[in-house]
Amino acid sequence: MRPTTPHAGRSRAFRASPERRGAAGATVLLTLLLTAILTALWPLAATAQPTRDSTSGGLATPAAIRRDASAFARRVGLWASAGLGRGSAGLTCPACQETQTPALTAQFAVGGRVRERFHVGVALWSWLDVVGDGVDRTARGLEVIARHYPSRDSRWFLTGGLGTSRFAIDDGDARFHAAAPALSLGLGWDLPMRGVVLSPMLAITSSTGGPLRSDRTGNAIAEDARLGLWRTTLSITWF
Amino acid sequence: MRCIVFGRAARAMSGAAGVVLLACSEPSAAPVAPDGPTLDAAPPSVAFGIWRPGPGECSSAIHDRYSTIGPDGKRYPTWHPPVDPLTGCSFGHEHGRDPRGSALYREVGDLPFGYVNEQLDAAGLGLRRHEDHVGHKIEWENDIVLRSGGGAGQLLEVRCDVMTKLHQGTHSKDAFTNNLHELNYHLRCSDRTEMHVALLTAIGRPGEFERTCGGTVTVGPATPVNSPAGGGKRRIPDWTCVESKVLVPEGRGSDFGVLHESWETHSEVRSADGNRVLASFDPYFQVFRPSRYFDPRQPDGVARPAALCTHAEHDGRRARTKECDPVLQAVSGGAFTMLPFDDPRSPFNGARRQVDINNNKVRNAGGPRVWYTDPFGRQGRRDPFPGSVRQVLSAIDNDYGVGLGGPVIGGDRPYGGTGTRAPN
Repeated sequence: MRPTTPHAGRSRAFRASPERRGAAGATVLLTLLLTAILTALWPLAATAQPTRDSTSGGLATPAAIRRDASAFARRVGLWASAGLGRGSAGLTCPACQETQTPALTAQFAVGGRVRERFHVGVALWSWLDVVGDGVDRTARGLEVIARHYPSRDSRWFLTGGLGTSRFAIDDGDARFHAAAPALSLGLGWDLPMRGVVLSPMLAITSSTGGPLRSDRTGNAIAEDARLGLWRTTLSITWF
Repeated sequence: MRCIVFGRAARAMSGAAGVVLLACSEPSAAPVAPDGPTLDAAPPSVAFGIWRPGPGECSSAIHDRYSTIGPDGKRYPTWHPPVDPLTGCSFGHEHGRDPRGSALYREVGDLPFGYVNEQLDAAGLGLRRHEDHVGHKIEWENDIVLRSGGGAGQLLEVRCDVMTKLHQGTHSKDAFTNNLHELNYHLRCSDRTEMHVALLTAIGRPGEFERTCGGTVTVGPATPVNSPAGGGKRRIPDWTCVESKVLVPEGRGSDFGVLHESWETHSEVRSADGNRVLASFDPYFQVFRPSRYFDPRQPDGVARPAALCTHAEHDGRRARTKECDPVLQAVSGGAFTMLPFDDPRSPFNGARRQVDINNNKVRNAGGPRVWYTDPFGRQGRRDPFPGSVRQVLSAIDNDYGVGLGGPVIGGDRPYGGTGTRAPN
């Protein structure tokens, strides 16, 4: 029998056009700018919520602020977070075009601390891209997440999630979707502020291969469609 | 099931032997090389040896070397180049693109021209239909892209290798009435769509055709007279089109684009059980500058476009276009004389063609890859029967709720210029 896989190797990696890359870069810069502004405002915000410091006559000092952050991290209990940002997603499969567009992304999560440096929870994330010509691309996922702080006083954290993802293409006539298990990894930074924590975060998500099916008929146009997604999110967490 | 075999001439040209096609015991069985005695020992099919050369052209013996053995063990003509590479002589006709460059060739092999027509004789349907030699035209393309028409077409695509062969004679009266034409269709795509189909496709209704410039023209009885009707249309130019578009008064230019045939096929493979459609496909086969148009005033209804270049109506209307330049030969005194319609220098030779690839559907999920149908692609069963033709379909369902349209192939490949002439 002759091999009948002439298209093996035709799967396409995500590669954004120069315009798309420019937009993606703008997204990253915007996120970094927001982060910088929030960082600059943070001492003022901390001052607005007085921090007792006997050595500075009641004014907030960096040392006091670090202690506040530590206090946040030592809290035990439930938390909830919501975030918005920008991200880029696409599918890799024999039928998939090279299209990766930065677009709006959102994330909601609830969870609790199981240890001082270790949180667990459940996160729901989504991504929406309006391509044009009536075409929408959406991605969403539901994951069990874990967050780990490298040290007791660290504001940096690593996060990971394991769950399911669904990527859909819809132009009103043609509708396709791929659903598959997904793994997310991310890196973030906590900024305690007025009783909440602002957390800029960068995360990447990848799914295992799954069929890309027509919503109308259930038939698969590709058997091994893999989702790739990166997103920058600015989240607010309530403890 | 045995395998089809390539001809000696093909081996001589390529220095390699091959075989294959619609007929191996496994869907993708490896080719088996035939030898000369095998070809010589094979009984001839009706289609074998029917071509006759014109003056100065290759002999029939040279032509008949380009042969192959069909699934029925008979010897059939197959593709050959327009010029024999061994002797340098011209055959005066061509069969389209050399199939050996197709990514499907190793599986498909040389196509036995007229095999399905031959099976009709054995099918016991009371029908007999054989076609001439020069009308068999191959076209193929590797790695074509199919997309949906909507916005999702920007994001999703299916890539395919495709090879077709239609008997599309555009030089004779045949297609004015006859709607049954042998079609081989081979397709393999990235979404696992695969079909290797050979059938007599019924293009429109027998006894009539659609006028290129609009309307139906009823001509007369078809061969066979009980030919079934089918989907699609045979669009052929006639005198009405010529009169309105080609013969024009001074100051206007002729529209020779109306001298264009479009055979819009719709073919299906159906099961005997419930008459279920297992596969369907709609390639459109177009021929530019054929060597005929229909004129009911002519014997057999066949008129020659080349003759239009010297034709003038009483009111002064005539063909006014540079298309006629190659047809008109200057002679002494500034007068012109016309080339014969079958002169190789005439552009009206049917050698410019293209195929539109459309709507390749397979509904065979859970079914066998190999089906045996009657010569019309009907009565599909798992086992062969008298007159049956072996069809291979991937065991999938590729209906996505939206149609996937393909490209035009072959439009940039004129096959003339190598001694090719009407009839071609």
